[in-house]
Amino acid sequence: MGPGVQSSEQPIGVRPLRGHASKLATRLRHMKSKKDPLLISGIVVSATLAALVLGHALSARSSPPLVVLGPAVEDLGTRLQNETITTTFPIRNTSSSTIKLLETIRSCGCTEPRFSKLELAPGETTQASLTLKTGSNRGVLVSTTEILYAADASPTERALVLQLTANIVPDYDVSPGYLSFGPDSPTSQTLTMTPNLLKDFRVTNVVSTNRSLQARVNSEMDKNRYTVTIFYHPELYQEDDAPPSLAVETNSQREPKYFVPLKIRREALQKSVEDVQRPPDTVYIPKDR
Amino acid sequence: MEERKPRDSAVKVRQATLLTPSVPQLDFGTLPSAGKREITFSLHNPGDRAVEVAQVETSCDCFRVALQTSVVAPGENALATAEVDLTDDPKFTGRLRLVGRGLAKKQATCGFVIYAELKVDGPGSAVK
Repeated sequence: MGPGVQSSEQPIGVRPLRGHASKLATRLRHMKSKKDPLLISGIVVSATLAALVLGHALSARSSPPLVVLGPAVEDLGTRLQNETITTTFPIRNTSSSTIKLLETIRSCGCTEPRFSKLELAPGETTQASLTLKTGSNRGVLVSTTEILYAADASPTERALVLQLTANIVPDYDVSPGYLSFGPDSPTSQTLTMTPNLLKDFRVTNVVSTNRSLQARVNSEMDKNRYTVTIFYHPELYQEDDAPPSLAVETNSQREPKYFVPLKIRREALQKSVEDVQRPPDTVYIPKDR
Repeated sequence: MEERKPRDSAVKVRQATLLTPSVPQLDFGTLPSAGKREITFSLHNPGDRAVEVAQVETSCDCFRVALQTSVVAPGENALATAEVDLTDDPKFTGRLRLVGRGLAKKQATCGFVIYAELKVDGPGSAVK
């Protein structure tokens, strides 16, 4: 911005009077011109009270009653699968009322929150510990835990948010992330599994729960990978079988079984079975006619 | 017991995405321990370019989002299925707010974001 150019922006925290406040100021100027001391003092007292209430509300908004002493986000760095890591966050009640911890909302079932106290007196500090189980996660993991709480004097629930992040290095990589079978997708699809942390990674077996799903494992040692081709045969589907699922068994200690994320559209499957048994262009003629 | 006023989530942040879900949040309701539930929703492409969803990342192993087709043509809708499966974690109880993010191929903007909420009833579902 060059010299002489006027900015229409206001500095942060200083805003032009608007609405009722603006009307009040105009009225005050008007009353002052009429020199009515009783009315003026009444308005000044009201304005002061309003300012106090507003100031209290603003300060309440700027500093929540429950705070973390330190960062609310903890980066756990690079981790392995099937690890358990516990991190503690000191949290303090900065309000003048007792605070009750009500409930937690998690973004991942992999995190278990625990608190050393569920009621915090004014000024009291307690420990919120978050235990993260990395399990079979792979890649960047962001786990958010919202702690819902309420002050005794207030009927409103508030939330304090804690977050754990980690980069999980898996024993092996798998691509693609999921397989989807239906009328518009191929009936055989291939998963590629490559060693990551576990250099001598091996696929040992594939287990299917439903005969409509079959698999063939190829060891491509020259490319240092395994391919698992999964064949979907809707005509072999049996209601008596368990729902279709497929697990690739490996020599990994941390993730011994990889459950293939599968999506088989059931309605499509039934339609496909009907199509196989009675093609639409086939007319059924009973033998006795 | 005194009724508490609901509050807005501190975590949920809307962001610009290429595909618009038919519902901003999926409500899975209350599941039993080790429960499993599936909800179908659609993703609309309001733009003038096809969007290819290369990968879907979720905040939890227990949450999976699958698209019926990975490419959504301009102006078209694609069906998607969101599934919560807690069979691997039968001891889990409490509330979950899950996030699924679809990453668009060759495009900087996120493909889509879908939120899901659920509660798993059981002993010890309150704070400990």
